[in-house]
Amino acid sequence: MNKKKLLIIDIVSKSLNINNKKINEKTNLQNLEEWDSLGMLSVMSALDKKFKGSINVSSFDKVKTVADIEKLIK
Amino acid sequence: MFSKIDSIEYYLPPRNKFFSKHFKKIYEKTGIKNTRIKKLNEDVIDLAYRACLKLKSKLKKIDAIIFVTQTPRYLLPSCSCILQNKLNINHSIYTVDINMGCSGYIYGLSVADSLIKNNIANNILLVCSDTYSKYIDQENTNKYIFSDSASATLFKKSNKKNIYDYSFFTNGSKYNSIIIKKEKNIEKFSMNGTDVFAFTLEQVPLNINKYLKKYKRNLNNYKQLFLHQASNVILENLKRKLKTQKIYKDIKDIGNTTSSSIPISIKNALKKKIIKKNDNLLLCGFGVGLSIGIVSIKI
Repeated sequence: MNKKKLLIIDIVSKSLNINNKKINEKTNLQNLEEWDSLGMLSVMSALDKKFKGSINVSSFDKVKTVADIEKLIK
Repeated sequence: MFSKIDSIEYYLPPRNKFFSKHFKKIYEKTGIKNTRIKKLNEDVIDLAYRACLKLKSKLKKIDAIIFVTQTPRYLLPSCSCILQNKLNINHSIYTVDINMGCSGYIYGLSVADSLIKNNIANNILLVCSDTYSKYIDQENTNKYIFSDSASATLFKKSNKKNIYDYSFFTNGSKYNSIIIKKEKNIEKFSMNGTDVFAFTLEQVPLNINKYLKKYKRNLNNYKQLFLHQASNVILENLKRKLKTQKIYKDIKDIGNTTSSSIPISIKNALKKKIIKKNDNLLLCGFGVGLSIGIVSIKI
C-alpha cells in the first residue's frame, strides 16, 4: 500500500474515531456504522485541511473506498 | 440617494431541547444545543408578525414589504400581502415575496437597496421568515440543525453610501441538494449534507476572495464577517479557509435560522458590543439553489 493510502486511512480512522485496523484499502466505507453524514463531514474537513484544498470534495458522496478518496486528490 | 439599515428585530420560538443518544457527537459537529420550533398552529406570517411588532411606531411609515420565505402559508397570495393586512399598514405600498433560503437576506437587501435608490420606496421592511419544521419529521436528522424564526429589518434613506458592492452566485445543477418535495404524497425537506458541505468549502471562500479582489479590499477592511450560521463545522472550516478569526458565530442556542441567521447575528453582535454603529461588515449568505450572496455594509 502506498504512503498516500496509509495517510488517508489514518485520517479516516481518526475522523471517524475508530481503530485504523478496521480499515484497509478495500474496505467499503459505506458499510461502517460511523460513516454517516456527520462522519463524512469530519473526514472531508480533515482531508481538505491535510491536502490544503487540493481534494475534489464535490465528488465525495460517491466515495466507497480509500482508493476512491485517493483518486479525488489532485 | 442611498439606503441604510435603521433597525433589526427578530423573533425566535421557545427552545426545543432535543434528545439523542448521539447528542455529544451531533453537538460537536453542529455546535447546536437547542433548536427553535414554532407551535403547531403558527406559521411564517405569525412569526414575522411577532418580529415586526418589535419595530413599534416605525411600522407606520412602511411603504414596501419584502418577504423572504421558502415555507409560505399559501402558494398564492404572497406572504407580504397578508403581512401588510395583519400589520394594518396603509394600502399605498409595494409588496413582494422572494423565494430564497439561506442566501435570501442578501437578495432581499439588494431589492430594498434598489427600491430606495430608484425612489420607489423610502421605508422598507425586509422580513425573513421560515418554518422548516413543517417539512422535517422526527425521523429526519435535519431536526438537529434547523430552527423556525423570523427577522424584520427596516431600511431608510441616507445621504451616505452604507450598502455597497454586491456579488451573487448560483449553481442550479445542484438544485436538489436542498429541496422540499413530495414523497408518497407528503412534502418533505431533504438535504444532501456532503454536497452542501463540498459547495461551501469550495465556493464560499472562492467567491469571497474573488469579491475582495474585484473591489480591491481585504479582510482588514472589515470589523467582522457575518456569514450564514449553517453549523459549527461549516463556520470553523470557513475560518480556516479564509484564514480569519473575524467570522461571527452565534448558533449554540439558536440553530440554523436560514435567511434570518445574518440579521439575527448582527442584532446580537450589536447587543454584545462586538460591533458598533458605523463598523464595516461583510455579509455572505449561502445555501439553497445552490446560491451565494455577498455584500458590504456600514451598520
